[in-house]
Amino acid sequence: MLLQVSLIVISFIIIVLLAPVLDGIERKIKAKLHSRVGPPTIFQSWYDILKLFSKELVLPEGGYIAPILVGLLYTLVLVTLILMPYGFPNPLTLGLPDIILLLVLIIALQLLWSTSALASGNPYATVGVFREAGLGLVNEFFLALGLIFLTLVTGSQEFAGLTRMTTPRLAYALILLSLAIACYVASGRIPYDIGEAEPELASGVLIEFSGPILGLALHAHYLKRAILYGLVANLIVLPLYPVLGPVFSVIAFLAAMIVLWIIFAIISIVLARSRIDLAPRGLLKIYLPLAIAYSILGYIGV
Amino acid sequence: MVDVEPRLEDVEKIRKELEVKLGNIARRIEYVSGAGLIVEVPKDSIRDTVKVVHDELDAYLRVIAGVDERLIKGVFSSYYVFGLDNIGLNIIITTYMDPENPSIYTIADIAPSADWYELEMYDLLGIRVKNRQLYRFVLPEDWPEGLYPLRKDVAHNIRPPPTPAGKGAITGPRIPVGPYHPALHEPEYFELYVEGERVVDVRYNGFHVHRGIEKLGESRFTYQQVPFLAERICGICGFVHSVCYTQAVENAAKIEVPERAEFIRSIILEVERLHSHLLWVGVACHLLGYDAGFMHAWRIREKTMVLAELLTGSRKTYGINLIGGVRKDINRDKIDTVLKTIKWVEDEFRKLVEVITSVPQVVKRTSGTGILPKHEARRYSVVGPVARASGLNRDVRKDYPYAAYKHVSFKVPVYTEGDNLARLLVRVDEIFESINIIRQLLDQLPSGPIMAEDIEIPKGKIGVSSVEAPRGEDIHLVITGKGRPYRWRVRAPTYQNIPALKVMLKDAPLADAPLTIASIDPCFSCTDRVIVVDVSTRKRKIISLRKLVKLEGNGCMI
Repeated sequence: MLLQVSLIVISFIIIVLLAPVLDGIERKIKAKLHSRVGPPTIFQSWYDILKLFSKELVLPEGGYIAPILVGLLYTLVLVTLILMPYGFPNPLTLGLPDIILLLVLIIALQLLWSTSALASGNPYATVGVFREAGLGLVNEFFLALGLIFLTLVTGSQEFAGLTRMTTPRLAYALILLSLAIACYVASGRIPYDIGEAEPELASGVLIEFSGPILGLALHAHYLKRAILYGLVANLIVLPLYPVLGPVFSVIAFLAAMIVLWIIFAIISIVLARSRIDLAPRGLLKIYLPLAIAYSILGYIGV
Repeated sequence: MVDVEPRLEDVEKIRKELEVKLGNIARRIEYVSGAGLIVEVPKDSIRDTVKVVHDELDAYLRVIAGVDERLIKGVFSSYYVFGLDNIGLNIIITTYMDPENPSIYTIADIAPSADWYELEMYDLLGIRVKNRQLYRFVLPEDWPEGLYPLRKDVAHNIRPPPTPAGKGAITGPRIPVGPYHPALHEPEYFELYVEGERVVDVRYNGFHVHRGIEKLGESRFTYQQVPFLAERICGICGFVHSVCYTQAVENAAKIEVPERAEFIRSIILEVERLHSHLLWVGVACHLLGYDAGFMHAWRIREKTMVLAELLTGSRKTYGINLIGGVRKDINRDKIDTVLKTIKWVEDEFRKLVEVITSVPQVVKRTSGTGILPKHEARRYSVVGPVARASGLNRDVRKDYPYAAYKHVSFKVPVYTEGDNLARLLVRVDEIFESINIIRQLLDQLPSGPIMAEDIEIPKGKIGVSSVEAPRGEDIHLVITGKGRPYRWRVRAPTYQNIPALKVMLKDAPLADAPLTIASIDPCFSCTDRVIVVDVSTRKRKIISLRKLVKLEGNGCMI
């Protein structure tokens, strides 16, 4: 127990520090694929955040509640991070149904992210939030559906259930695929970054944030990505926990998260942005067959 | 050498047809080489004349130039230049107005693209256009009433104190796109009125960076200085403007330009087109969120700037053009390097196009969006890739051949879909055609001088010239004066294409708006060339699309 809590605390600190570095690595990879030089180091996203923190606090007109909401968002991100599994079930959840807990926390994060943007009253942000909400209707539904089916397939509402899986199952693999796509979309990557679409909405949801608020929001954004990719990494690593043990599970978890981050980054570089009317329809075409397949396979026990 | 003249039998046929259709309305119908068929009519007959030319002869409106000719003829005049692109003939309807209180009837209900020209005539010359709503268009709201900067009795360096503008507020939800916006690389302002994500209304507020270039050319610069000023009209298609100006003067003064200089001009014009189209492809990719395409298009574009530097000494704003020829020659070594470079550009761009057109979102978001049907394209007299993507086979290089284009063979890509994808494909095809044209021109480059020896420019002559800019036809009208042009009218392609955006943007999703605006490859600095004033506009008027359409239906444009 002590070992596991220590590993969680260390991993938590690593992820908090690592998320902006991963963004820096992504920027370097992106630059390489663009035939550019890119930022000077992989720590550029950290330098950006630190620079933003050194700036004065400018509040959007009429949006005095925005910094409070961004603060709340940041806190919620940290809470979610500390309560998620790290390649092994997290003992800090005290035996709560932590799959459902994580689902609720992720959806709360998405909602708070939108609400903090809406507080500014900026028309670009408003359109951005409506777009995120429109996309979220489809994406978060299938994120929830995937996690609920996960509990049915594993027979437990806790991530600990995954560690007890003895044989590989096709239904589980399809759920994993569906959740990986849902996490990709929820992390606001091209083609699904329509809420922040820079050319038409000038960063949309982020438009009114500047200085420390923007710094905090950006760090929260990177951590949110780490949480989402961490969820997928957990689904890969948790079934191996009985074999790997806590230390190697944490290492495997972190490695899987980093690899996923980089794969997702490369996918987003080779694609272009979608549109609010095209994106949900396109997603439905992917999610529906997957959902039908994993529900049938889950029912017949394959 | 003046531009290629239309065939005389064609001119004669049109002249006779006009004589029959206009009856005794026309005071004079005369062909002037280097300009076109001049049709002089009384000002009250302008509408009947335009109906004949625009509707019956199927000519499109190219430019309208109001002129303060009080110093020469004691009147204000107006030149309506229509084009019969199938035979390469300009029909210039000329009319004179009272020097004290100049006014003329609107033709904007007959030819909608006349809308802006009429507003500009009113704003800058004080020519009242009757039977339509007139409002401050080019000049800022705080410019004093009754002060018309293009009149000859107004000094070019006048700086009137701003008059207080009334306060007015706009209500209702709107999405401002500009004056500063990531999708626009120059200050310009589109107000998109939205219902949800659907654009229901568009308001364009342009002319933020007026520089008084026409006025400067008419009052401060000399003939041979103006090409350098003209080149600064635009940072991307500047050479087009300088060639267009020099050709207009050469046409007016019948100056024979050496053939080698014409070839060099054409080569540089095509290098400029390569640069401009590659830049645009990059911008379009960026607007679609496909930054990989953006960066690679600009990587290829970089080579075209190196090419320009090799040939002219400058990466952009080449400054090699003069009336009578060019200032910089092309030698054998350069030709080899150019051929190698364009081969590289061709290969790299071909690969890039394959990649771009295989990205699903690029195809989905460009096809079927920002549609401009052919009949609307014709009505708005749009030009360049916008016209060609809507099924109009309109290219000045073929229709009104100039410089060395008569010596090369090339295809004019025409698509009928009229959507953003069609405009993208037109430009992609044109890049390959430009490379093809450069190869042919270099192959046939004649020897000889690059500058005419005797350059004399008589007063009071009119010259019209057009050049196919990357964005469409650029047209300059020059009336010669003493030491400098008496009147120099510049009409950039964007001026003709922006009004058609009303059609393209209406009922489209908001997400497509920046791409659709960019799909005409707008060049605002070309369009905004009229006068310099610090803008502090507070009062604004909303002209809704619905109102516009409604008023059009009633035979009256705003």
